Amino acid sequence: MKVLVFLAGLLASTMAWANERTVTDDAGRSVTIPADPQRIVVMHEPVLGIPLIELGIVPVGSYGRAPSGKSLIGVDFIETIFDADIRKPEGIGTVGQISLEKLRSLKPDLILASELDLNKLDQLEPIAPVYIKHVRTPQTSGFNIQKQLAKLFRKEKEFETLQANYRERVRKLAQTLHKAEVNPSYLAVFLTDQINAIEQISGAIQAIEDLGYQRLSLGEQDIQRDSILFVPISSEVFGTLDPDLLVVMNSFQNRAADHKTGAKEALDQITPGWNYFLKPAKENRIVYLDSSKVTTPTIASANHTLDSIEAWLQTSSTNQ
Amino acid sequence: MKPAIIHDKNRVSLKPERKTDFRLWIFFGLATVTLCAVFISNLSLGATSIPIHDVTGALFGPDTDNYNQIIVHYQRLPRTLIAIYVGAVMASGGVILQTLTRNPLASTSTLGTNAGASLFVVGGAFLFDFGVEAQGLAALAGAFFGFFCCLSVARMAGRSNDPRGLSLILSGVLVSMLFVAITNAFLLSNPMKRSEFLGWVTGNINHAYIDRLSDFWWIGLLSLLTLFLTARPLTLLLLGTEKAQSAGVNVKGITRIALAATLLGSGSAVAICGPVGFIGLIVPHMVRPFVGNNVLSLLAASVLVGAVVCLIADMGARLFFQPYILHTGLFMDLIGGVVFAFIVKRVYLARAAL
Amino acid sequence: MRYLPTPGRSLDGRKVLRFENGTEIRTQNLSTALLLTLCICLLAAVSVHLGQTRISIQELLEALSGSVLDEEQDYALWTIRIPRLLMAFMVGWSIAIAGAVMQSLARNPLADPGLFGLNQGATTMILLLIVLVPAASKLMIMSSALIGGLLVATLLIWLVGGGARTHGLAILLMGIALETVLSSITSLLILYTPQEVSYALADWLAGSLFNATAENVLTFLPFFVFSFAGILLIGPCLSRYELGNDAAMALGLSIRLTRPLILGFAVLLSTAAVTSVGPLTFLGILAPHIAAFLTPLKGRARLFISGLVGGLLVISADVLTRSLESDIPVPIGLSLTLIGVPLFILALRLQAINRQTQH
Repeated sequence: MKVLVFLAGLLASTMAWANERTVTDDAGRSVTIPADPQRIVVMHEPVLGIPLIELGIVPVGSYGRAPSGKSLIGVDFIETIFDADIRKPEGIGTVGQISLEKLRSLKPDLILASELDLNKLDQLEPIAPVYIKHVRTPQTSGFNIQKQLAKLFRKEKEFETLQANYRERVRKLAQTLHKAEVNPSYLAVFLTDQINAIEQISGAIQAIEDLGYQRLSLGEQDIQRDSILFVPISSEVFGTLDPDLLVVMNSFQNRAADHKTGAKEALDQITPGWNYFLKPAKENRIVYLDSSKVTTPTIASANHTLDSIEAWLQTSSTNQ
Repeated sequence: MKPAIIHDKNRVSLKPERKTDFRLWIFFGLATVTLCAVFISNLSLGATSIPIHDVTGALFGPDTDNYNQIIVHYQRLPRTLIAIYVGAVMASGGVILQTLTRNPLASTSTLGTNAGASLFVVGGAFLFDFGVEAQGLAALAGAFFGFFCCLSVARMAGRSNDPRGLSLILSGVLVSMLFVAITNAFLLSNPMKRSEFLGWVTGNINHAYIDRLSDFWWIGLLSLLTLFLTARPLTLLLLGTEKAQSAGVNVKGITRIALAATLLGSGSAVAICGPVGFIGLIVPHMVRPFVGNNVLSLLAASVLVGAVVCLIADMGARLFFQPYILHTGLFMDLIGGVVFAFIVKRVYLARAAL
Repeated sequence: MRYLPTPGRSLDGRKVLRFENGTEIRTQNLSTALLLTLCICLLAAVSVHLGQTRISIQELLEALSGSVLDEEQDYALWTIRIPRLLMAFMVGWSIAIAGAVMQSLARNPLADPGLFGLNQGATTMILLLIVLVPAASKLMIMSSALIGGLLVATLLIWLVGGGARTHGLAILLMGIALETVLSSITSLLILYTPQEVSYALADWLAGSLFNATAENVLTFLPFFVFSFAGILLIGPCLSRYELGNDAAMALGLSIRLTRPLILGFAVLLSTAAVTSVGPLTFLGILAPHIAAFLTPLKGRARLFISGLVGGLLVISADVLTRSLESDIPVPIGLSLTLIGVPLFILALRLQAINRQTQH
């Protein structure tokens, strides 16, 4: 009996210990964080906040929102990505003007930041433990961020379920896709007033690669993955490229009715005559994606990408 | 403190003599030939070299099945036209501003005009969600606003013993810095919109903005015409206000007309390709040794050479850093700064004592 | 009673306080300085009062006399607001003095450390560090910014030639040229780095007092103290520079020797400020002008009063930034412009009118 009591005591004490744990973050710092953080503040909503929300953890605060919860970064990703009505995190000041008092009043028990916030550590650390998650390529890609966050917050099960559903969709879709091509290629571009090849971590790229597509080599124009510079594709070269799948995203600020028309208008400006000479355009191998839905590194964004590809498949099969 | 006037050595050649007439014709001939050559090579060189027959084919009705011709017709030709427009308008603006202010460093980029125009465009787009036409009008208004801010700061800080009107340049640079800071604050307020304006705001010749050229070309043409018409009285103005007045020039009126034409022209250029700097500063200095100080020949020469310089800069930005394409504005700023230093060294440091 | 200053009149007939060792302080300057200090104290009270956590005036006074606040108030006051206030003052002070020094050196009322490319030198270095070494330590950032500023200054002196007869304006124009080249490098970074990084760079360029932690205030302190030594040493030569190089040399000033020293002093102050809050354009011109409008100034008094005005301006800009609750961010640089430019125009206008009535 005594032994049992002793064991129970031991168990209780380990439970108390387990309220906190020490982990090593991406910057190599060891951070003591609560076992089950309840009040998380994210310093980069699209890349760190959205993956968390999909895993079922809604941050209490987010950098880039007004105190009312209104998004200040042009696009409210919570609204565009999730159908469900999700409580908006509170803002901690306008961009560039973090209010530490506001941040502290949210009583966070963990601040999730990126390597771009390393210079803010002195101010953030006294408020709550800060966990640094690298968000820049090439350290991270695809769902890595979400997977690692799931592990950190003990949401592996949720992540596995999401991933399993997603994989199932991919498997089915891949069967109906590309029968003829071996190693089909893709090129994903983001349109502003020029053509930018997408090298970012995003659900869209992950989904397309999971479907079996390989990144089109641009030869000399190839952008090195570890390069710190990010250079647009020449619109002259763009017209000669012939990926099996061309993925086009319009810039976030869309004046047109929907993202597809917006993207087409942008193409008209940057490469006039594209629908005459661009082979993917002639052969209906262009998928238009809504950049405000597919650019986060989440399974949700990947699913949105799959939606668009399915829609594209339907139009191309009805055409044939 | 002796009031040295920078134009003094050129005063003799205000009216071209017969001997220099010949030189002038040679210069104009050469400049025109160069312009044609650069024009053609700009169409033919790029990510891929396109044979001349395709280029000429594209100019006279493109064949939509020939990719080369499509590139030339839809991408390189618009780019080239924009470059010519910007070069001609900015360079002539530089001539007029340097003449009016009697200051070798005056140009639309140093007198707050470009910065004012871009502030208004970005401000309009971010605050009121302006479309293309409204942005163009905002650029025109901004050009005037920037210039008058610069003038008023200079006037207020002006000193009596400032023979070279340097306060004007300083206040211009200051006003520009200020406007750029405010523009950047706007850009910062919306990261998503920012990515759209970032290229434009650093000054870039981009064929995607050809619509704007087709909207605004007449402004530049009108401004150039006006300037050519006012060239003679402006030349007389160089001799000094009183002499010009005695020769029957309405000094105030001419100054106003020339200024308005310059500002409208440069405003329209900024609307098309952002605050492309330093063409207006450099080109007049390049042509002055060849054509002297007669405003008419200076203008004509600057229009030609401005276009040539802009075309070469555009080509350089596309070719020198292959496979990457540098922003033309960046490229010009880089070169412009160096040339600016060179002018300062030659004009201001050679005669050390002011 | 021997050490107390005695009131008297200076050579030009103004009221002065004369010290035993011969130093004179104009009574008007002294009263201006006192007035400015009073304004600073008032604004400081407003600034400390402002923010999400409520701290009443009474609690504030009690806290300053040593009593303990509740935890939240304690954090707001001692961790956020007081360091911010001190940093704002010191930065404003340093930039204003650097600007005043540059104006005397260039003999032009529109000279600013930003116009000389000095700020750009530091800025470019810092941006490069943010891109290449995101984890750079504060010391590394500080020293590379200093190196950047000093490099530009050296380049400037080399370009204009060490010649004693070189006019100050030529330095200024050469500075503008350097500034242009350096800013195109900055734009290169902003344009061609990935969106996230580019945004972080732009954010830094906008300037912010976010970095004002107690630790950073302590790092800045030596520069602040050093500025006093600088004022004492450099003040007298500056008034000779204002007379022109020839006159300065006639008065026994070695331009070859003093010019690099003065430039170095300005670089040190302005880069330290840039490192702490980002580039604050215009302040270097604003503060000395407003100071000159308040009271006729020269030499050390000019630097001192300019510094006070600079500190006052930055504190008020910070108050404005924090009290505006708009969704569009108002960086400190912008609010400085909003406050400073109208004042600047007013000051210049009134100065011009004064001049006209005098003649």
